[in-house]
Amino acid sequence: MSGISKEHILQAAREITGAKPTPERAEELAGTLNVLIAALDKVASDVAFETEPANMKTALDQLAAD
Amino acid sequence: MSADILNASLVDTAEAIRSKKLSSVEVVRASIARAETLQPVLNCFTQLLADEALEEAERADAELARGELRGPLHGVPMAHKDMYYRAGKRTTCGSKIRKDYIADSDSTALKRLLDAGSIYLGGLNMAEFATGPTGHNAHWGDNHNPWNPDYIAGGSSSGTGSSVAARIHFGGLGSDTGGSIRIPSSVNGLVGMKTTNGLVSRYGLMPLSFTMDTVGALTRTVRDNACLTAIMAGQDPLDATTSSRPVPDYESQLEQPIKGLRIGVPENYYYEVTTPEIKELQEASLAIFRELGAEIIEVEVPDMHVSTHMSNIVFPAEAATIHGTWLRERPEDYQDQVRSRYEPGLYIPATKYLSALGARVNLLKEFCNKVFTKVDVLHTPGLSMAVPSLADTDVAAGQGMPEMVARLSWTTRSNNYLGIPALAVPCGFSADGLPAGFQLMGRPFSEAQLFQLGHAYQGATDWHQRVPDISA
Repeated sequence: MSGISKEHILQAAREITGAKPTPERAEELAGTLNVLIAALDKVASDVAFETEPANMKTALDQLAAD
Repeated sequence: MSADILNASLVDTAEAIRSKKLSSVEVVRASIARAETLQPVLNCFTQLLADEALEEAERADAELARGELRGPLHGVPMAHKDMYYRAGKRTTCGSKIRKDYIADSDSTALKRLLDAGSIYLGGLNMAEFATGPTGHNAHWGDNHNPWNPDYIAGGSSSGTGSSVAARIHFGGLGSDTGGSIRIPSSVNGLVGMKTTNGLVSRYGLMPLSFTMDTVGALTRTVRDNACLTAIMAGQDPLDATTSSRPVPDYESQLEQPIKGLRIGVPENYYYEVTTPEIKELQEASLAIFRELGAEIIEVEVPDMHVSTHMSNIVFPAEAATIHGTWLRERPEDYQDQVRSRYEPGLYIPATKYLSALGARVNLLKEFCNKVFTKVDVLHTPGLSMAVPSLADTDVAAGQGMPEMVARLSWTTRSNNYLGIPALAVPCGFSADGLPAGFQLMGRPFSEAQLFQLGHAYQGATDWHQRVPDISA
C-alpha cells in the first residue's frame, strides 16, 4: 500500500472535512499519519477476528490486581 | 494564621472543621484572600466565586452547629479544573468557544465531592479544551508555576496544579487523557492520580477523548488523594463505561506495610530521554523504597512507542469528531497548537481508528504479562526532564510542537491507551529549584496499592511539606 499522501489529505479536506490545510501542512500530516498507521498495521494483524473495542472493559476487570 | 490554615492537609482541615476547631467561614475566607493575592502572579482561576463560596461556608457552619454533617468534606473549600459541569452555571473549558457556556447537567465526580460537603470555590485555568501539557493559554492567560512563575504549571490541569501547590486550597479535580493530571502534579510538587479507566464517572465532564479521558484529583498528600478518590469512585448509571466493582476504602489501607512489595524499574523506553539530573532523583526515591523494605527489580517493558502511537491515532480521531463542527465553522477561535493537535484526526480512516481501539486489549495484556507478573508496580520518572520555562515551551503550532508534547508526556501518554492507573508523587527538586516527581503504575484497579506505596514514601520524606516562597 502507498499509504496516505498529500493529495489524499487535500482531496479529503476539499470534499469531506471542510478544513483548509496548505499543501505543506497536508504533506506534514500525511507523514505523521503514515508513521502511526505503519505502527498500527504491525500490531493489528495479531488482533482476533472477534475483537471489538468494548472488550476492553472486561479485560481491565480480568487483569485487575485482585 | 491564614497561611497556617492553608498549609494543613485536606483531611486534617476537614477534621478541624468537623470538630469545630476551625469554622468553614475561616477556611474559605483564607482561601479567597490567598486566591485574590496570587491571581495576578499565577493566574490560576478562570472564575473565583467568592460570594457564593462564603454563603455556602456560612450554611455549612450553621448545619454543624445544628449537629448536621453533610459528609467527610463538610465545609472544605475546593476549586476544580473548569471543565466539570454544574447545571445552570458557567463552565469555560479554558476556551474562547465556551467562555459563556452554561451547562444543563451536573458532573457526577464534582457532585459527589459537593455532596460530601465540599464548597465550590471556583473554576481553575487549564489548557484550552484540556489540550496541552504546559499551561499556556492565549484566551485566559498563561498559568504560572508557584515555585517560579517563569516556569510552566504543566497541563492540561494547570490551574489545579498551581493553586494546590500555592496553598490556595487543598485539592481539586483535574482530568487526564495523556498525562494532564500527572504532568502538573510533577511540575508543581503534588500528588496526582490517573485512575483506572472506568473507576470514576466521566458524566458531565467536557469530553476530549471518549476512550482515554479519566477523572482524578491533585493534592499535596497521598492520604488526601485517597480520600477524594474514594468519594468520587464507583459505578454511575449516567456513564456506561464505569465499573461495577466495589470501591475499596483506600484510606484504611494506607498504613499496610510495603515490606516485600516488588517495585519494577524499567530497563527500556522510560529512561530513553530522561536527563541525568532527573535519573538521580529517581534513584534516590528508589533507595527510600528499598530502605522501607520494598524489593527493587529491573524489568523489561514492551515497546511503549507502540502504545503511544496508538494513543496518537485514537486521541485526534476522537477529538476531531467532538470538535468537528467548530473546527469547520470557527477554526480561528482555537489556539494554533490546539487546532493542529486535532487536525490529523480529520484524515484517519475509520478502519484504522477502530483497529487502534481493537489492539488495546492485546497491548494491555502484553504489558500486564510482561511487567506485572514480575513486579507489583512499575516506577518511572513523572517527567523526563527538569521543569521547562514558559518561554522555552511557547512553541504554538511551530515545528517544535510535536517534539515538545512528546517529550513532556513521554512517561504518561501510554497509560491512557492501556487504561491502567498511575500515581504521581513528588520526590525532590532540580538544581533550579523546581519540583520533580516519580510515577507508580499498577494493574487495573490497583489504586489502593499505589496509594499505599506513595503514602509510605511520604512518611519517609518531607518533599510534600515544602512550601513555595511566593508573594504577589
